[in-house]
Amino acid sequence: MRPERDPDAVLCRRAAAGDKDAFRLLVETHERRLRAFLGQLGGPDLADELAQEAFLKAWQSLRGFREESKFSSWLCAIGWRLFVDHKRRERSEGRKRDAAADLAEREEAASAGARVDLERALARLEPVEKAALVLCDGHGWSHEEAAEILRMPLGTLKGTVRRAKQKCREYLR
Amino acid sequence: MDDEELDILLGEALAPPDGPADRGFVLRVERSVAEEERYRRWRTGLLRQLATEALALAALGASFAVIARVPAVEALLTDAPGLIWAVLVTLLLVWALMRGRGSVLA
Repeated sequence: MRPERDPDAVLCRRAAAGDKDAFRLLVETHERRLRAFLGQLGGPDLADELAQEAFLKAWQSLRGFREESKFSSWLCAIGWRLFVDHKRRERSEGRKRDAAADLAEREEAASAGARVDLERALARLEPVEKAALVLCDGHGWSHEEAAEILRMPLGTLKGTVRRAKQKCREYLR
Repeated sequence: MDDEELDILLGEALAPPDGPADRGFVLRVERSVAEEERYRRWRTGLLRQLATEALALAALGASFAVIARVPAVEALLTDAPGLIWAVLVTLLLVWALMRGRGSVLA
């Protein structure tokens, strides 16, 4: 992809030079997707907190952003790393929530019918399995892009998606 | 449930929402970016000020060392060793006063 044809690339360059309006446009374009991704992993409140932090980090690091990847996948990768760090911190601080309570909360939030079953199945996945599934099946990233976002080898990503789908299928059976 | 049905279900359940940007969220990000910029400017200013003051102190120290080697001054300092402390305290007071005025003006 030629960077000149990518509107994000132009906005990124302007934002990297300190143009806050350009950065606002980037936030407006990508906030829903990022928050939806993080929301699937940790719920809406955590998603808002982490997405805000991810945008701030993006603003701080824009000068170092190389246009080898898309801004959207770079931003998503920042969000994912923040989520992983958050989970690690939570574990090290001994604030790990009771898994059953967490599951019950997610199940309560689910809507009716097959959707409820699917939400329950998704709630049983490991965060990385869920992330891989959300990126590839929900947000339409290619396996290569999802592997880049989650910082894992392509083969591992494909295996993770396969495993996640298998778990969902078994639960829905 | 076959693979195709599962893919459709997953696609529907996990798709990002459509619609315009959330103005509230965008504003929060804008505010945090502005805050970050203010902090960055303050930190840069502080570091610059500290570097300037360290340089000024080094220059003063070097000047004292040179002046103290002048025979007449050396003799004076030997006769009145308290003089060097008086000079140092005066300089410290002048520095503190200037800093105070600087922070008031800022």
